[in-house]
Amino acid sequence: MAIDAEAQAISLDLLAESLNLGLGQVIEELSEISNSKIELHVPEVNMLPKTEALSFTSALRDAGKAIFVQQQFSGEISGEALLFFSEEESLNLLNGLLQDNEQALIEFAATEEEMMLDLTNVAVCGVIYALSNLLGIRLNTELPRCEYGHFDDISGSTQLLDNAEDMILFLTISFTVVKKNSRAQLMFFQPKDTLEKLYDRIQKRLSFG
Amino acid sequence: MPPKCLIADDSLYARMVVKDVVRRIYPAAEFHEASSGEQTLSVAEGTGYEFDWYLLDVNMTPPDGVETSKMLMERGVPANKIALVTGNRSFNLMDEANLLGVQYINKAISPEDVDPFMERLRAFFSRG
Amino acid sequence: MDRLYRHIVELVDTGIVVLDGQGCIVTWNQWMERHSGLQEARVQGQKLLDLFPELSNSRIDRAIYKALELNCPSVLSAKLLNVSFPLYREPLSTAKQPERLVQSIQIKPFYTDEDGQYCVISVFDISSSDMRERALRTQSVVLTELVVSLQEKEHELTALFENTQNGILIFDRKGLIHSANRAAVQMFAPIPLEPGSDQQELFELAAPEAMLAESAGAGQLEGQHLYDFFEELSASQFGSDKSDAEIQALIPASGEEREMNCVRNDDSEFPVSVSANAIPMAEDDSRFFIFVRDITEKKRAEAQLNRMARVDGLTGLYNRFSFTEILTSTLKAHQRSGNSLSVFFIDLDRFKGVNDNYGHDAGDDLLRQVAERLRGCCRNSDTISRWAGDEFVILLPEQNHSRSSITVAEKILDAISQPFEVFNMPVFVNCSIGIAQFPDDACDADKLIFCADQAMYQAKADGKGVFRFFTPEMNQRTLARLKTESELRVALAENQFELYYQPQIEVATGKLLGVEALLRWRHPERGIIYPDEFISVAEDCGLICQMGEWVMMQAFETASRWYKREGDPLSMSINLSPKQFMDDGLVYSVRRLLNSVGFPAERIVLEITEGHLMNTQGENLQLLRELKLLGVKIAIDDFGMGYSSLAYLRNLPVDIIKIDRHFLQDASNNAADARIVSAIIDLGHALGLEVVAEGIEHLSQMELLKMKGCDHAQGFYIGKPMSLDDLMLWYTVDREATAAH
Repeated sequence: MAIDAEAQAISLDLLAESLNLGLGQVIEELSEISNSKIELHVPEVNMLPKTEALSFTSALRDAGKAIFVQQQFSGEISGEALLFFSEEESLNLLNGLLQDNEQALIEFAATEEEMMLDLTNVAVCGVIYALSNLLGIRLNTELPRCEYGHFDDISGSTQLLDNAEDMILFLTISFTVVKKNSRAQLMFFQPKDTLEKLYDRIQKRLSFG
Repeated sequence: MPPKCLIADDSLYARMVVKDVVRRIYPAAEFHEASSGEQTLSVAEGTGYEFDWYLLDVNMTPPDGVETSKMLMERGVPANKIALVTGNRSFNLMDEANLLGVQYINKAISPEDVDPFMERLRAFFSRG
Repeated sequence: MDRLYRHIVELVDTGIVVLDGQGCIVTWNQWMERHSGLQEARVQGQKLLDLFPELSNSRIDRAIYKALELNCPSVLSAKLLNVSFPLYREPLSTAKQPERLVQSIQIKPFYTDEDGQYCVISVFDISSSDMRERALRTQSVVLTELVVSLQEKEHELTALFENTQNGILIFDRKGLIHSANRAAVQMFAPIPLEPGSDQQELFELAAPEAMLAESAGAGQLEGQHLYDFFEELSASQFGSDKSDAEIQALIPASGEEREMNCVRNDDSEFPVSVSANAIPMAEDDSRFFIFVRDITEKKRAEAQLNRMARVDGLTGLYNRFSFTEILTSTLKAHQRSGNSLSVFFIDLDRFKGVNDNYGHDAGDDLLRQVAERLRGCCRNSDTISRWAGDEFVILLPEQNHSRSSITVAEKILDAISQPFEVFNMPVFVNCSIGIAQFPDDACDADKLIFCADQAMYQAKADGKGVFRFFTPEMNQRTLARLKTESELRVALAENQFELYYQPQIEVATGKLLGVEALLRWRHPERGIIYPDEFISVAEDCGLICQMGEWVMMQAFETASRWYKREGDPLSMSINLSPKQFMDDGLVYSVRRLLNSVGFPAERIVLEITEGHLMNTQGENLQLLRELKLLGVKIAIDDFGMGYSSLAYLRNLPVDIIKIDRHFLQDASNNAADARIVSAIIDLGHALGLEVVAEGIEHLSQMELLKMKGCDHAQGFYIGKPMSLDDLMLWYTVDREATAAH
């Protein structure tokens, strides 16, 4: 199914809004967990050909090791959230969450991996819950999985990056710990068919409000 | 005179929802829309600050809703005409709204939440 | 099967708790019993929160709420967990100082049609670092999800493992498969033939019974042997005489997956990742389960990424990484065979212009066409790569007399010089080629490419559109430049620069009018070095702006000191490099210096060569005007050699022209040169400009200038460039001499 430009714009708009609503819901929770003021929002949502999205990842490729969180959801629409962030960004973020008397993290070990899983899971679940609310459907979310290593080594475990002509949804989440002024940009990918189904649902829901 | 309402949100969809709910309260309400803080200020100025209510999202291309509120107030808009309509549920933001004296209203997060959202808006409208 | 499920839950080295929709405990495994001191029978049916009131309002409490009410999973990391379960290493009754377990917790909701909402809580002990790595880095998620899927299907005893994405097979020591879940059955089912395909029809015609038997047996992995499906396993490794440990040694335990190759009944193969565990059941009758994950897609994605990583997306040529790889391996082969090979480094001339004038799409299109033409000039055995931007590198292997690199280079030059058609417009570009050869120039890939690159630079310097072979001198030149560059940095840091001043006099009166500041480098070993030896290096490496700034500062200071001492401002001429001229900070620097030294701006002269002014475009012109607005004067240096058009000169915001020294050298005895000098002077005056003559070495030249009415002059005849002290001395002597006249 082809999506016409206007419908696509509205879908993206609604998606961005629901992402922001979802993230808005979990800000307080994240602040509590981390004992810091957190800012979290999605500046923009784009549909990109995969090849272009891949070129974003070339920055990660150059950055050396990266963390790669994958979380699947299913139900009336299904898809896969993929978040990438560089080792440097994530350490920066985690250091922002540490108490002042704790020693700064300098390498990314299993414990740090788990902290990132914890935080991103809260954010991704918030987003998926908001999406299911907006659309009035039930979505099941799998536990997130995390891989850590060089981009080329880990990106093989997702099918999202296959088939370079396909379009995918691409967005960044700006995640800031205000106290320490540390910030991370998370990149988030969605396959196109999720968006097409989403568009269907939106047509049904546009009377809401 | 039908009430005049300025709705600022970077999401078209969010503006649609807010408009729709306001219309359920005041079917004749007139709307102006803005998709950024900057546009809000210029629309407000262009129409001589004659709005009964300013419903502002928080996350917008800068200035954000909080900054925009401050600027509107500097230009003489009373705080009780301004509401931050947001999905952001952080106590920090609520504190900030309280400090400014502007209303803090949570957006509707689900179809079931539309009616409570309408009540939240109604409470704000009857306050001023 | 219920027993099997129970065994797995008890087997795992993890706490497993299952809660129903009301938050009441359904399952509490032995691990939990062991570490909490609470027996399952005691806690079953109780609300978890009633049992552990300290958990209320904790993250665990909220995560259970999210699982049961919002259908959201949670990962609660040890570091961010405010309250954990009261679980201890040893039983509380025996331990003197109970040691609380460091816990990592996962909570996963699940739903069954019969009984509604549930959730599984997995608790991992990560107290020690090796446990931490194992629990967090490995299969903890798989485990939680397995338990969930077991739980979901608990009441359906026949379909225990359905719905997990992983295939699960239960087998015994003999390798006999006792059960398989749906995922495994699907994985091992023969690949269905396209309905209606020739093969399908043939198959049906030939053996309809076999076909039927096949499809009926598709779900029947039970009764077959595990080793028939795995290339790496064989019948001899299994048997009732084998111990559990021997069987387990064949396949890594969960947490350490191994890649293997599976073979279906139809002999098709697929890659998998497997792990296995023992389920201790009755005596001597252990069962094992093996997880099988199909990694066909993963492998395919890897191959795809691998390809994308090797090829330049725009042109389809190799990228620099794979080129270097290929060159390295080709070099190895050539080292053995003794053949020679060539590397071409090709850079397009005027490509930037295409990009700037017609946009990047046009540039991209052009690059594609260039790539196509390069392919046309090369053989299949040659390797062509896009190195970067508009640079291409080609490897020509197996060189011999029948095909010289000169022929290929000429072919390429010719092909690229033909007009291209970009967006229906003819576009002309050229290329410069540098050639390096193995084994003459270098023996490793990086050095060969570097040599070819240097040769390319030489080709560019020699006028573009040509090719040059690498020569060792290029290398020496490069090394010398690199040496100069590092010495320049030291020189700047250690203040090895000095300014010399050459006097300029008024031709009519002989009075000192001003000086031109000239840079000298007092090298600690080589003595005084003149600018022509180091300015171009400084320009290339970007040090020129810093040096220019230093020169201006010194010159302004000298001028200001002179003014304060003599009471009469000296005009100070300062040379600007074109590179400096492109620096945005120039106007700012000049304004700042003028303000800080307190010196009349109109006595500062900034000199720019004519050649550079000729190339001056809009932006630079604007900069010149801004400088003029500050009140300083602008002089054109080396005037007469650059063939400025009159009209152009009239539009430039300049005040002074300096006649190139070459015209004056012979002017006193060469009538033509004398006429040129005369013409320039007249021209300058006609345009209202001051005219300065440079390189005055004889009295006769001075007389010519006087006769033609030239304004100012400088040269050895008047005074050579000298240090400030010498200048003071010269000035005093000169004034006394004038006074004596």
